[in-house]
Amino acid sequence: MELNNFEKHLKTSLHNMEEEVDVAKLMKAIQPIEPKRKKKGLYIASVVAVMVLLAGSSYYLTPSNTSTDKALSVLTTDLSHDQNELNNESSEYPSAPVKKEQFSEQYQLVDRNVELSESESRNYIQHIEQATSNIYEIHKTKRSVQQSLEDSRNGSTNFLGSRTKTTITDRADVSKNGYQLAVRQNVESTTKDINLVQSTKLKSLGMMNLETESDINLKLISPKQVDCPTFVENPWIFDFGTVMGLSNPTKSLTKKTTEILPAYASRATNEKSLEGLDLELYISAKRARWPVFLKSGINYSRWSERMKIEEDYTEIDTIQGIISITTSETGDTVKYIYGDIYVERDVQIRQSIHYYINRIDIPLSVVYEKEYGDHAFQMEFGTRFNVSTFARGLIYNNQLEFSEASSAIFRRLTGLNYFGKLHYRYYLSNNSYVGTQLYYQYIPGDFASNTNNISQTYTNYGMGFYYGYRF
Amino acid sequence: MFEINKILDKCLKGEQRAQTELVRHYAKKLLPVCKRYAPDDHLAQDALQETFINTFRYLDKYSGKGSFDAWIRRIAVNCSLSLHKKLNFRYQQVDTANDYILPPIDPSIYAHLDNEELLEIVKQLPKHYYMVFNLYIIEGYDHKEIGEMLGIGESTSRSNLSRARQKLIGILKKKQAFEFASKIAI
Repeated sequence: MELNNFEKHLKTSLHNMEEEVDVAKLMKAIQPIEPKRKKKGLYIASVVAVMVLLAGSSYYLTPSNTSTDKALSVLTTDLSHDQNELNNESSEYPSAPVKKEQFSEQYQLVDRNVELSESESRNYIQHIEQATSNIYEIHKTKRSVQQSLEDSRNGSTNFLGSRTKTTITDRADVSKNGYQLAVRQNVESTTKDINLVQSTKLKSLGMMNLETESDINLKLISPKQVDCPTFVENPWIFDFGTVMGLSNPTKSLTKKTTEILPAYASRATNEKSLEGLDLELYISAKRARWPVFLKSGINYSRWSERMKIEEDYTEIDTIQGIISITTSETGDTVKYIYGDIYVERDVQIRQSIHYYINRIDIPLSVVYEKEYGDHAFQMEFGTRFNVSTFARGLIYNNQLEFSEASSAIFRRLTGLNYFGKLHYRYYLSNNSYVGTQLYYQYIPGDFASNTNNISQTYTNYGMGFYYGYRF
Repeated sequence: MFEINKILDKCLKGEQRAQTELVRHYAKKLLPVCKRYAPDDHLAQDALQETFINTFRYLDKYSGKGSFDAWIRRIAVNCSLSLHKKLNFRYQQVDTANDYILPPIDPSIYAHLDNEELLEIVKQLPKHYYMVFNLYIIEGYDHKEIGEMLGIGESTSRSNLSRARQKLIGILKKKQAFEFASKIAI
């Protein structure tokens, strides 16, 4: 037995482990949580409701002359506008981040300015209860306003006017002193744990209704803190890759005229297409889970043509020269005999002349893909738009000599051509892969220019290797 | 009968009964998960709560293409792990990722143990090893996923698992020796 068995035992035992949970309590804690809905109307209604509440609170927070009232205004603004924010630092969640400094700053101001006597405190306690019940009412009203806005959108009567006024009045009735004391008590607690005490007090006073509790819960688990898996696939998958391959272009030469073209026979016999080089950059867009997708990119190919001349012949030349010289016995006469002299010379010509056809195409194709785990097979059919063709090198011409392969001999564009490919690819990781492809290309367009009487067309097949990235 | 697709549809419509049904079905399964990854059992309760809040909140993001069990389980793991982040727990980087030759362990050491006891053995691992070990062995996540969840590299996850295994062998061997000594004493 190895540790693997222990691990298997652990997985079997613990993976499906269950434990009893108080569902009712749990539901109470997480209610009322509803899935996020994409309704703009609700959002707008909430914004309007908040604005109404803000307007109400601004009415309530009319500035006073005394320093105490100024402090209160700061305080009450915080309380009335950001009550949820205060509550969110709840003691029920000790792991939640605590903004003690923020609270301290706010409440130290009050602490300096507000001095409360014991009798005032008793009064304030009474006000607290009144204030908290009013806040509870405000929450109810807020929810009613939201509901009424939704109703009004659906064609029912507008409930906003009358109830909004009620809300404002309620807020105005809330005792400033009541808030003040509540806050002061919290100020005293900041050294210990202001959040703990505050939320406990609020809850005990009924200030934390279900809505605020759920708000707390939601704020604690902001999406930034918890990576919530979506399982929603990216609807589009893009491929980007490079291909390098070799091809075997097959040339076809035909005469355009009935004239005798001295170069034709020689080229048809001796000019041979060599291997070609293919380079391609591609990008494809694939809808997730769709087996068919589109692919495009840019392709460069370079083909070589070789004219191999092998000739053996005897070169005969005739020259005139002195054939013999004779001198008489007496030595006074010299005869020179002149005549033609035939010279034979064996000549061997072994010459290879190349020219190169360079092409740049924009391919556009449809691909069918079938994946088997890390392996994938693809069939691809498409067309290529030729955007440039140019030749370099020397080509045999009708004057039976080599001349520059120029645009006078070849076209600059050869139009559309068609191709089919078979791919096999292997995924190295979730994103990257390597693959190989076999392809066949048919180019109907003539490469020869109009002034060139020897038509030149190609078919091409080859294979390539590629590396791609999928994202 | 619990039909997840119907329940989810109803939950998306905000039906409370369906939500309760979902909670009832998954809470008992997810609480042990939360307990395994949360800093303590009390916080595991919070994590469970957060799991369901997140589940209901982001239910519309669940496309139905993957397993809902895996989805909600992942949320539970993430919620539990996030509590560690709040406590500023940092995962240790182990420099090397050696392959260790694992010596045989007598299965009689653990065969009779119940789930809690098994968990106690695993909990003896240092926290960073414990996390990776659990996520890899029990939950079945791969190193890439673990790396994303814990905010560490894949290689770190691998090496932590390797170290966790080595430590675990030590723990089991100690237990083996202790039990052997106990038998002799008797």
